[in-house]
Amino acid sequence: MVKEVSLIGELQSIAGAGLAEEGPACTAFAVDGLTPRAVVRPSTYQGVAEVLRYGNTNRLTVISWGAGSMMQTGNRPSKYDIALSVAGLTGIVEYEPADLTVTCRAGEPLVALQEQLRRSRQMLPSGPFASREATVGGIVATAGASASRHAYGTPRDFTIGMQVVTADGRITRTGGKVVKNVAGYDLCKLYTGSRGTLGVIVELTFKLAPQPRHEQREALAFDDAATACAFARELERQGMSVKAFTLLNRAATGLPRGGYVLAVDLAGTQAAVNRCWETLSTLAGAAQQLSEAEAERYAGAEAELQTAASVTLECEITVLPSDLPVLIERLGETLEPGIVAYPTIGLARAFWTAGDAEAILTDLTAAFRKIGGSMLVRRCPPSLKSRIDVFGEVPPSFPLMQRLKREFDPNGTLSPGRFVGRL
Amino acid sequence: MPGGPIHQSAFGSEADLSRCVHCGLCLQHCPTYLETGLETESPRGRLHLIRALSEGRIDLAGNTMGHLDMCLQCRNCEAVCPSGVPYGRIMEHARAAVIESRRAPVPWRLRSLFLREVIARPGRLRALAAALRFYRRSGLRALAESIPLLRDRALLAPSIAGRPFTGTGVLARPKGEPVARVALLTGCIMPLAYGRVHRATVRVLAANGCEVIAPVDQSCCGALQAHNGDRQTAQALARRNIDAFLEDGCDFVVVNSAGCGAAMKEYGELLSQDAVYSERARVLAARVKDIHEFLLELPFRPPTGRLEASVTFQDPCHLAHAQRIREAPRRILQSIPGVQFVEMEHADRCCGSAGVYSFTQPQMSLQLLQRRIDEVRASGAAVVATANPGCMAQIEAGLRRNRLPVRVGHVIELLDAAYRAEHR
Amino acid sequence: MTAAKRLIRELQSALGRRWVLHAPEDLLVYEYDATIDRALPQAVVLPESAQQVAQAVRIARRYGLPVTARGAGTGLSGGALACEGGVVIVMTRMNRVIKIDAENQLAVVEPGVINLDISKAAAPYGLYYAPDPSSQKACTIGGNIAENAGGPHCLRYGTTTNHVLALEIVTADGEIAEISATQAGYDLTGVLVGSEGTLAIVTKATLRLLHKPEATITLLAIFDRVSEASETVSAIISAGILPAALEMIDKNTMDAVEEFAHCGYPPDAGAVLLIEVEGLSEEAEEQANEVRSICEKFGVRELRTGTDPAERERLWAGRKSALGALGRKAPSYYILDGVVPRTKLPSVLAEVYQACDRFGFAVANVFHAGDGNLHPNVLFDERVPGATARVLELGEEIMRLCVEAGGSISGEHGVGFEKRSYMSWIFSEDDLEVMARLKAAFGAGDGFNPGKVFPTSKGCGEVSSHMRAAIAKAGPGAYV
Ligand SMILES: Cc1cc2nc3c(=O)[nH]c(=O)nc-3n(C[C@H](O)[C@H](O)[C@H](O)COP(=O)(O)OP(=O)(O)OC[C@H]3O[C@@H](n4cnc5c(N)ncnc54)[C@H](O)[C@@H]3O)c2cc1C
Ligand code: SF4
Ligand code: SF4
Repeated sequence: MVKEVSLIGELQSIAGAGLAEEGPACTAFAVDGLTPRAVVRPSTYQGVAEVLRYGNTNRLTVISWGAGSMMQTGNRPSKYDIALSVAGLTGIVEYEPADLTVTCRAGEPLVALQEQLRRSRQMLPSGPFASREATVGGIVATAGASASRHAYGTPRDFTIGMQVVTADGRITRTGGKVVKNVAGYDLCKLYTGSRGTLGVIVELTFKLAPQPRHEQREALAFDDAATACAFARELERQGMSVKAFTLLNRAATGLPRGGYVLAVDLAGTQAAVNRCWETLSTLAGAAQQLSEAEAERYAGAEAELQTAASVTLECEITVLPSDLPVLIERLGETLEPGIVAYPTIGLARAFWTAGDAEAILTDLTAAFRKIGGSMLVRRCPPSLKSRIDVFGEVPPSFPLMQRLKREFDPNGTLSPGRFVGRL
Repeated sequence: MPGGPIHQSAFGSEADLSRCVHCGLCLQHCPTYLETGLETESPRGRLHLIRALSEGRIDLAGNTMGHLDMCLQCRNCEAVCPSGVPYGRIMEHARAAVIESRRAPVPWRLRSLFLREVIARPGRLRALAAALRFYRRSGLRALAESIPLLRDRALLAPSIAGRPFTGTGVLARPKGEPVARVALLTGCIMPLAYGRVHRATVRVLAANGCEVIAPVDQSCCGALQAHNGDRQTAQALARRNIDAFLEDGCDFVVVNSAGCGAAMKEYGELLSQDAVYSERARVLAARVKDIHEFLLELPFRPPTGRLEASVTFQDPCHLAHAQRIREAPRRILQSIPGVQFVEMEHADRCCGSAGVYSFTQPQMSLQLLQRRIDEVRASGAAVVATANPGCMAQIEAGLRRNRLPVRVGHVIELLDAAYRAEHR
Repeated sequence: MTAAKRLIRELQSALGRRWVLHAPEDLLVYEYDATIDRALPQAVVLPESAQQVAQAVRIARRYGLPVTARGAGTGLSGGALACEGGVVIVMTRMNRVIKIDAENQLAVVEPGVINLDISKAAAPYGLYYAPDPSSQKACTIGGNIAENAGGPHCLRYGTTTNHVLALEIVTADGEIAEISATQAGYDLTGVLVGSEGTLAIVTKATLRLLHKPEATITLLAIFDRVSEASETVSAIISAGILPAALEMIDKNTMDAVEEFAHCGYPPDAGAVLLIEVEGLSEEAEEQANEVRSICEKFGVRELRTGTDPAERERLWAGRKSALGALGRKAPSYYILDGVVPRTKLPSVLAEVYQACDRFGFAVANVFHAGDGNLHPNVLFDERVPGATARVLELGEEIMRLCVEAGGSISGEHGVGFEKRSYMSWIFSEDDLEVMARLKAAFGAGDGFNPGKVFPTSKGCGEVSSHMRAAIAKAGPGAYV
């Protein structure tokens, strides 16, 4: 067991004695039933680089961690030696409100960052996410999308610069600190959503948005998904100031009456929000409009589902917005999961608490082929992971992605096996 | 360089050429570029070729001349160029340099011979017109149009019909004191092909209180010759016109043919090196007015007679791009009670007539014509109004070819009809 | 038969004779773009399909020749120039709008489509394509994608990269691949946008369309001094207003524009801001009022407002024709493109004027102030011996000012050939090495638009010698 000793010893000498552990501490960093041999929490970028360099030269594999709230998503790692947590890399590096940009370390929790930004009436146009601990690094690495994507896009749209440690331990920069920048390849795009398979993000620069002057949440009941989606699109067509549309089915709301609830988050100046509310009220029948209290209740519905321990299978499906009603209908036929959808984006998340996950997936995959789009299994029983690729069928450009992975991580040091096609 | 004594600088002045900053903003306005997608058939490309010729980087071998020849000289590029590149002038000089180099290909030389020896000579031109009239009436045209080899050129041959215009001297005198004394440029083709337009113009001017004269000694304006590189002939013609029009002491020279108007407004530039005439050229040029712009500068009298028709307007290139007159003809059309004015798409793109272009580049000419005809069709108009004899003939040919029951008229003819309807 | 002849023969059999150019006069017009650089290709092809692009790439590769894609040639960084010769693939014939999917707000287009034509095709559905480079009447979407083009309205709506959803590409080995920003896996679409034609050739693009806003208000604010105008810019952003566009035009630019577009700019004004706010009419009104009072606070001398399309068009006319109009002020101009953090705008701008003064050149600034994206245009006469070299030197100094202020060497025109050597000011060797890995993954190597973006490529020396040869051939009056 000579090697075992030297691993933790090495990591401790890199990161500092208290920052590398083995044994029981590692269980909290298990991924799909695999427990790492050591966990290390470097406090500097240099520390991250040295851990990676060490792992890479010694053929030890490294899985990077933020707060861990999204670690259940991904294929089962093919090998897992070191858990590298960047949760210790917190804090804002640079924030000049009049520039409308912020630079912070990857381990900074989104909630904490937003609090800082709120003081200058600004925000990172992302979230909220189910986990209050979610770090900005983790959100970007998983390209985490929330309902506000309707108005603000996803991390690829507002991440303008990064520092990333490569598999061979180089601290590199891409992008910059200015909102418009075309110098060099935009590697930010590549790292965003790459789930730690190409490098470890240690610092990020974001383009911010001013906080809406006024916000108001409305909720409406609909009998069927198609009408609800059409309603959302009509508001969109009329240019209403909407930050997010969220469509929930009965199973997601626990609603006694009606089939679907469409939550509409209005945001803008007071006058604009009033006008939106008027338009919305004229378009919808009075009976459809739910009370403020009800509307507020649905705000937390998605987060509840995402954190519910009873959920055995969770899928995220992206289709063309026009195909969303069909998709939702079809999903409903599979043991009525809880469904949360973003109608103008064409994204639906479904949560099952009962039934045979594999059978449901087989059924869905067949149906899905007809509709087209992409499907991600966010949560499923670990036993299933050996038989499916949670990212669904590999995309046509998969050979290019394989080459990319080989170039960026030739030794397969970074989260091996976890990504699309078990990259 | 093989072949010849050619003064490189003759291809264009460095100052003119260096104004092009290659921004490309003219590309999407160039009809030949839009048809081919080729940079050589674009303003920026042609300017670059001319510059390369002037610098001696290339010579006239190969297809350089072909690329220059494919240019319509519609000057659409010039009108949109934010840098103010004087494209028309550059191209004229370049063509002149080609002709002067004596290395011009036979068709270029024939063309210039034709323009000099027929178009610029009234007697010979009348004979040609008579022949063409016979050609149309006799059914020869129908025959030629049915022979594949001849079809394109035959189709685009001007249609000579109706009574020629032969008036000279005082043509009209209003009842009271005239608001202006104007001289009409009768020109070369217009009186023969569209005598009716001149007659309408005289009536319209009179109806607006003008005294109209037509100096006897005037000649063809020289535009076609200048465009094709025969600046000498063009200058000779310009001098004759300067003498003729200044002699008569009119306030304005009114022109109803866009190409001629544009050329005469540029007499100053054409004769800028002429010790005797340069000043007089500028004086005359300043008096030249396009009929539409002229009418609107008078206190224009809107007609009260009605003309029930949907009308579209096809901008003659040398009105819209060379003279930058776009609004005046439209306003005149819109002033006619009963006229429903509809814009056709790409109204300001060349119809392919472009002087003698329809003969030298029949294929491109037809291609462009077809686009315009399709746009006329899409506009749903029953009448296409325009303001240049070449455009009128070209569009008539296109409509005939497409068997489209749409009529062609000069804006002034329509206005004249509305005035005349007042008395009915 | 020589290799050169065989190459042409093969290209001709793949694309048809008409669409393979090789005569000197035909190649000559592909030696330029909108920069002052020049480079001659050995052959030019104009394909009409992705298959033909792929064939052309394979043939060129077989002869060991580099390939360079070209759109409309309006690029401002020499991107479309065949710096090492080879085959130029011109996309102008692939100019169809394949589909407008109004329900899903998508457009599927070929790469040669002109930017503005996409909005024209989408207009009947109340939709438009947001990125609007000032060259939008002329530039192609393929060129926009390659450069990640921006434009006045990118302040609010983002640049090209935020609007490209999926691409069909031809890779360096002549394979056709489909990539999408929404499919599982790496975001290859995201890295392809802005890659300046060095990774792959785009043969089809799926773009996001936006609904036209209900109301748009354009404000034209005239200031006595540039400093007042640039402080107003910062103040607007700090106030939590994100206008759709926020542009600045300085005095020299106004002078040039006035001649062409007759915008009625007062002759003694120092700078003009064009500010556009959009949204629901209530919102636009409210924002316009706030902007007005900020302008007043900073001493605006005159405010003009446009609400209907014709009025707005008039207010924009000067801005839109600005770059071209500078051609009237001097025989040549050199456009720079740098970015600084918005708060640094006033100080950097002042330094730019000082630097130009020191070098003895007039400079006209017309730029996307809201993004901190500067465009100093240095006016000069390339016929004056040594002028060009001095201008380039000045350009370098201005770029340095931007970088020292925490900015970047290009906001939208690209690095291309012109600014490769500045890359190392903002990126370390490691940073560049990682970028090279991306290139390697695409198999692009040195054969794909070589001599661009990267400061030290193998062919670097050859590039300059090739360029020198081109210049020598160009004779005395030629540009650099
Ligand atoms: C007057 C003027 C104003 C301008 N204003 C702006 C502005 O506001 N914002 C802005 O961003 N830019 C602006 N530009 C610069 C220029 O218009 C843009 O960079 C534009 O995107 C270039 O498009 P193009 O079709 O002309 O490309 P080209 O110049 O032909 O090529 C540019 C690059 O794109 C590559 N390329 C072209 N097509 C493809 C393809 N299908 N696949 C892969 N690569 C390809 C080329 O290899 C080259 O590297 C302006 C230019 C001018 C002259
Ligand atoms: S002619 Fe004018 S518009 Fe055309 S490229 Fe040259 S400068 Fe630009
Ligand atoms: S004159 Fe007409 S045809 Fe000739 S280059 Fe200009 S726009 Fe094109």
